[in-house]
Order: sequence, then C-alpha cells, then structure tokens
Amino acid sequence: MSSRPRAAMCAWHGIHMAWLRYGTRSYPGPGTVGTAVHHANHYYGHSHVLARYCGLDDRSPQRIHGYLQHGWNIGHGMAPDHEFVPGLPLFVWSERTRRRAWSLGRRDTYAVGSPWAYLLAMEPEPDAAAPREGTIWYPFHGWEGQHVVGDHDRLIAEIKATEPGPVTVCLYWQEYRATRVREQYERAGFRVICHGYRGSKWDSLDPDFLRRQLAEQRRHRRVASNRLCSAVLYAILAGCEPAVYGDPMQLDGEVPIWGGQPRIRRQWAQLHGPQVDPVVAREVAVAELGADILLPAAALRRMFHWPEPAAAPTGAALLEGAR
Amino acid sequence: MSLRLIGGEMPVWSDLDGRHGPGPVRGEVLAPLLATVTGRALVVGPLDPALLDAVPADDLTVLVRGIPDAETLAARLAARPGVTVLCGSPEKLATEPAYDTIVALDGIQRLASTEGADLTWDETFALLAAVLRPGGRLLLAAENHLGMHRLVALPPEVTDSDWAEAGEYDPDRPAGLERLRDRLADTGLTVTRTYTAWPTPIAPTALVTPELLVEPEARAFLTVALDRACEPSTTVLTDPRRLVAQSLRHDAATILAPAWILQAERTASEPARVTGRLWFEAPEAGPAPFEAPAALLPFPPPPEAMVMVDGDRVEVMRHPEGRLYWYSPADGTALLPSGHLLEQLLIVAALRRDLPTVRELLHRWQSSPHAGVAADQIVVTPGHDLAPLTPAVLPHAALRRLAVRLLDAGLAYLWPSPADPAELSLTLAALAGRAPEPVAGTGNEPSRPGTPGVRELLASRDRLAQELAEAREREAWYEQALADRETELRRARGLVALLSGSPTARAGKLMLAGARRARRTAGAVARRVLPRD
Repeated sequence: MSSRPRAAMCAWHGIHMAWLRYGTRSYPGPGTVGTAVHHANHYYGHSHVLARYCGLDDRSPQRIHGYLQHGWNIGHGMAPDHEFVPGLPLFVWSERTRRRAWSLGRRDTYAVGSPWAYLLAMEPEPDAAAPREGTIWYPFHGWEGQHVVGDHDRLIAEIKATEPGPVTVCLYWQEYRATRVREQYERAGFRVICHGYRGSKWDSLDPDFLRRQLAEQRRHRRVASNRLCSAVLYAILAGCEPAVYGDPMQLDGEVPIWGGQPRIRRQWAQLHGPQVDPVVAREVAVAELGADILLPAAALRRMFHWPEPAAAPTGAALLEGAR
Repeated sequence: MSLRLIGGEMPVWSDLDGRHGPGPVRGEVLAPLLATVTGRALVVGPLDPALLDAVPADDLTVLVRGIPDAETLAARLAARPGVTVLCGSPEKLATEPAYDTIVALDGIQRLASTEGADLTWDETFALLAAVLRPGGRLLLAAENHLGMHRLVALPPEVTDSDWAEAGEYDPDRPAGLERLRDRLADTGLTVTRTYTAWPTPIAPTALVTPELLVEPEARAFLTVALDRACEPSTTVLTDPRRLVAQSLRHDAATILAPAWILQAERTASEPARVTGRLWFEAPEAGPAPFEAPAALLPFPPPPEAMVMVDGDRVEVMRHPEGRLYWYSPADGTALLPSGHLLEQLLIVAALRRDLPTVRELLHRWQSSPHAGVAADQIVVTPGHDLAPLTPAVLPHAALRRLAVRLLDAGLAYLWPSPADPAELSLTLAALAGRAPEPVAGTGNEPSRPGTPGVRELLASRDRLAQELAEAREREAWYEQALADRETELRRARGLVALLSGSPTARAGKLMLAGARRARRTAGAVARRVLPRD
C-alpha cells in the first residue's frame, strides 16, 4: 500500500472518511482495498441485487462496466479520491447527484437509481406485514481506516430520552466486534445487531446484506441516527419514520469535504430532529435514492453492458413492463 | 414557333447544358407557378425546358442568351404555334411589345450576354420592368446571399458564367427580402405573394410562404418538410438541417431561405387592356363557398406551401376560417397536424435527463401503430396523440434512424452506450420496452453523406481521438488489474498445492516449504551481515 493519503466513502453515513496517512504498513481490516474501482460495485451485495432485478445470476453477478455509487453522498457519488479510469461511466443513484457530478467535471455520469430502490421494487412490503414496533438506531460509525470519536454514553442517554419504544441499535461490523462498544449499548438495554460485512476487494462479498437490512428495518416503526446517512434514507423508503438527532460525533482525523455535516444539516434541515414530517422525508428519500427513476431491466442491462437473460421476456410483456 | 436572334447572342454558349454553370432552374415544385401564366408571357433566363411545358399561355416568348439553348428550345417547342424563342441580350427587349406576364425564376443574373451591355442587377431589372404592361404580373426569383445554402457552403467555385458577376458585393442589388420588395414598389409593382424556396435557388423542392414559416401550427410539418428538402448532397460546413429547424423555431426561416420567389402586379391604369386570367383567380365563380376541403374546390386558393415528397407534390392550404389543411396525391386532404415533433420532445427530455419522460415517450411511440414511423416525422398533438407525417417502416429501423440522428446531432453523451447507431438503438429499444434486436442499417436510415459536413467531421475526429485515449487508459488499468489477479492466483495455487495430498505428503510439503523459507531468510541475513568482499 502506498504511503500517500487515502480517503474512502462510507455507504451507511455517506460521508467522506477523512484523509489518512497509513505509513507503509498494510491496510487494516478483513479485506484488502486497492485502487477504488470495480470491486466497490459489489459492496453490500449491490451488484447482486441489480443482477437479480435484471433476471441474471445473482450469486455471481457480471462486472458492471462503470462505477456504481455505493453510498449516499453529497459529492459526485464516489469517494473524493476515487481513481477514475477514463471512459468508464459513473452510475449514480439520483438525478441531483448526477447534476452535481456533472458540475464537478464528471461528464460520463448517469442516474440509474439505487440498488436499495430496486430491491424494494422487487420486494414490496406485504399487505399483511407484521406490525412494526420500536426504533432501529444507527450510531455514526467508524470504518476500517478510522475510528469514531465521541461519547457513546451520552448518546445512549439521548436515545433513551427520545425513543418511545424498544430500541435496536445497529452497529457497523467493526464496532459490533469491539466488545467494549457493543456491551455499552447492550448494557443500556438495547438490542444490538449488525447487518453484516459489506465485502472487500473481490472477497467476503455478502449478496444478502441489503435483504437482511430490509427485513430488519421493516420490523421497526422508526429509524434514527446521529447523522443523516444511507441507512436512514433506506429506512424511510422502507416505511420507517425518521429522526436525526444527538451528537453527530467525529471520525479520528475527519476533514469535512463538499461541505460536510454543516452542509448536510443546512440542505436537509427538514430531516433533522427527533420528529420529522414523514411525507417530506419520503419525498427526499425517493429523490435521493432514485426510486422515481428506476429503469426497466432491459435498459439497466444495456447501461451495464450485461447480457440478456437466457429466457428473456419479449414483445407485449416487455412493453407492459416498461410502463 | 419561331426563333429570332435579336442581337447580342452568344454563338457557342449554353446555360441549359450545365457545363458552364449550375444548369437551368429546375424542379417540379415550380410547375404550379408556371401553370397560371397566361396572356402574352415572357420567360427569361435558363429554365428547365420541361417546365416550359407547364406554361399554358398561347402567346409565349422565351429569352435565352446562347444560340445552342435557343435551338434546343425551338426544337422542343416546335409544336406550339404561339411560341417565340428570342436569343440575345436583354437590352434588346426594349423594342419588343410589352408583356402581360414576365417570368424570371432564375432571377436576372444570367441574362446579360458577353456581347451585350455590362448590366448590373438593377439595370437588368429596370429593363424587364419596362416591358411589363400596366396590370401585368411579374414572377421574379432572387437568390438570398445570406441563405442557408450559402451559410453552410464551402468557398464556391467560380464558373464560366461568372465573367463579370459582382454577386453579394453588388451595391445596386437589393440585399434582403424587404429591400427587394421596396425595389419592386419603387417600380410600381405591388408584391401580391411571396414564396421562400428550399434548398437551393437552382433546384428548389419546397416552396413555402413567409406567413406559413412563422405559423406555430405548421412548424412541425415544415420542420419535417424542410429537413427532407435540405438533406446535403455535397460537402458542407455543417449539416443544414439542424440550422433549418432552428431557424423555424426562431421565426427566422424567411431571412435564411436560399431564395425568394415574388409575384408582383403592376397597377393597371387601364384595366381593360389586361388580358388573361389573374393569378389563381376564379373569374367565373367569384369567391367560392369554402366548405369543402380546399383541394376539392374548383379554384382553390394558392397553396401556402408546396413540397415534393418522394415524387409527389404535397400542398398546404389555409381555409378562409384559418385552419390549415394538407393535401397529398396519396392520402387526399386532411387537417394539418400541429404540435411538436416526437424527436424534439425526446431530445428535450433527454437533455433535461428526464428519464421517466424519455421512457414514456419512447414507450408510447413504440407501442402505437406508428412504431415504424420515424420519430422525426411524427407530430405529438396537444392532445398527446401521435400523428404520423410519413408512412411506417419497421419499428426497429425507426429506432435506429433515431439513434443515427441523435449521434449526428452530437447528443451521444446522453447515453452510456458507445457512440454507435447499433448500440444506441438497442438502448433506445430497451428504454421503450422493446426486446432489443440488432438491426442493420436500412434504406430508411437518414442519409449520412459520403462527404459529411466539416463540423461533423471535426466532431467525429475529436470523439474518436477521445475514445482511443480512453481505451488506452482502460487497457493499462485492465493490465494492472490482471497482473494483480494473477499474483493473487499464484499465491492461492501455491497454498492449494501446499495443502493438497495425503496428510503425510502435506506434512512433507510444509516441512520443505519451511526449509526453503528458512534457507531464503538465512541467505538474506548472511548477505546483510557478511562483508561483500
């Protein structure tokens, strides 16, 4: 691993994970991350979900010819230090992100909608779903390269003071494995879970990550976090009432980029606070996750240069499906 | 028929054979204008002899400057007793009796003879006006030096007939339609009708009135008609078709038309002396009750537009109540569909990246009975109906045509497929909800001239250069990725080899591997510690 500064993007919290200097030692964590290119398309099982939507083998998805946004983002959809190979398009979630990317000089960018929105389109909530209860709470987390700096005890006190029902705290895998942090939340009487590991470079991929996350979110009436992030937007689309409150915490060495947290609070002020208008929240989530611009499977296959499935529907069925 | 040399004739010169210049004015679309020429009529300048057949006048005089042309016309018109072919320079016309109608559809630049006076445009015009009777009519064409055909043209070639042509620099030649009208008015001529002529002054295939060019209800039809008319057949600076569409949107098409044809009448001081029927006049019936479609009337009003489409003349007429009809020999008369062209709506939605609208439009088109009609020839009416202006072909061919036009318009960047008609038409099919089927180019594909416009060539060159640079960088990246994966594979295979086999063999391999590693380490330590010499 080179010694130059690196940055990365967290999909849960949609933030720039600060510029770091690792020195000459290897990158820590379960997988190795090299130049940020195609392998990120497979994070969280994103390419698997899209392959299933496209009628292709979702156990072993094809390579996407381009870069797929893998987390909510207030920049051009990719990590700030993303190393672009010319001629490879960017596939971002929303039209706003596409416009922003264009303004940042990224011409070859196309809005296709988020894998989450495609998952929900494939798996709508059943009419006779189990009643929802409590809150799923996503504390702002660190990542493989940075640890979060903040007072978890104070956050726990705020959660207890705000949430009316039982609370499930969902930790990033790293913090989930850190017994000290996990036990802090468990001692508070919260149910503590982890959606899993997002995957690393061509390794430890988890095709069911998003489905597990969806199943968990659909058990809860509310979603909350101390930062507006992918998970909160996901949950809004999955039918949870959102809230964003509490100490937003900091990453060790965090450098705000593209405006950072202050900009997020200004631009999406209506999504912050312990009580948020669910209608407004849904409008924002639909737009940010591109749920209003989902493509038909055939068009998505064309975008990614994916093959046609073995038994492709044709004619009238396709025309009907395009509606 | 008689042939007279009036002086100033050119013995070995021909305008009609096209060897010394652009040839005669030609085009079937001009026939209806000539068909109404009656009375004592004079046709000046090189006109396609076939068009002279359309002139019904019994007393017809034709003036040309080359003897070979005069002989050609004399032979062709030999069967018409009332025809006189004059050969010579125009100043000799002054001795001829005046005319009821004068037709100058080539303008008046190619009248002067090398043997006659060196006449300016203004002087030639004055000569013609002098032989027009009071109450008589003039049909005059004038090339627009700011016309679309000149804007997109490469530097023109000087021909044999340009021996003393001041052209666009001529200070006496009225520049622009308004000045031309003023010049006619100064001569006592009232302009009663104007047509713009497309795509060239020499061979127009579409005549449209300026009034219709700014009529919003006709814009879609005219965009299609002039797009077809202005398809480039030679190397140009840029494809004129997009310029034409833009000039229509800006109500600037009259200003940029390649030529204007004006019909003017000289005020009759003695109406009784006027012979022949007035222009498009119905002398017997007077104004006819306008209840039937215009084309069915015995004396329809003059068309607002005449356009040649696949050999047929399509006409647009205005009902006295104001509604526009179009007539084609194949389909008869119908209300002119108004609205926006589907292609334009698609481009607007695509430029705004309004994908849902793009898909909705494509789907509505491709699921309709008009799926095979090109998107640039379908009108989307205010009621969101699709009104085709041309017959349908295969749907996939129509999609491919759209792809070609989008690429040619420089809009390839709107889609992530390679800038290739086959790839983009597949993407469009997918967006429309059609099963993607590769389609080869067909005869319906918009023609891409063998020698495309310079602008398009530059754009293609830049695009190809960029694609090549990107492909090289991608190749370098893939090479690196492949090397990384191969290293990883070697390591994995080594591990597999180490762990495969019976327990005894595995133990042996592990021992051997350990021994090798220990030896390498010892060697490395020895190299560091021991002096080199």
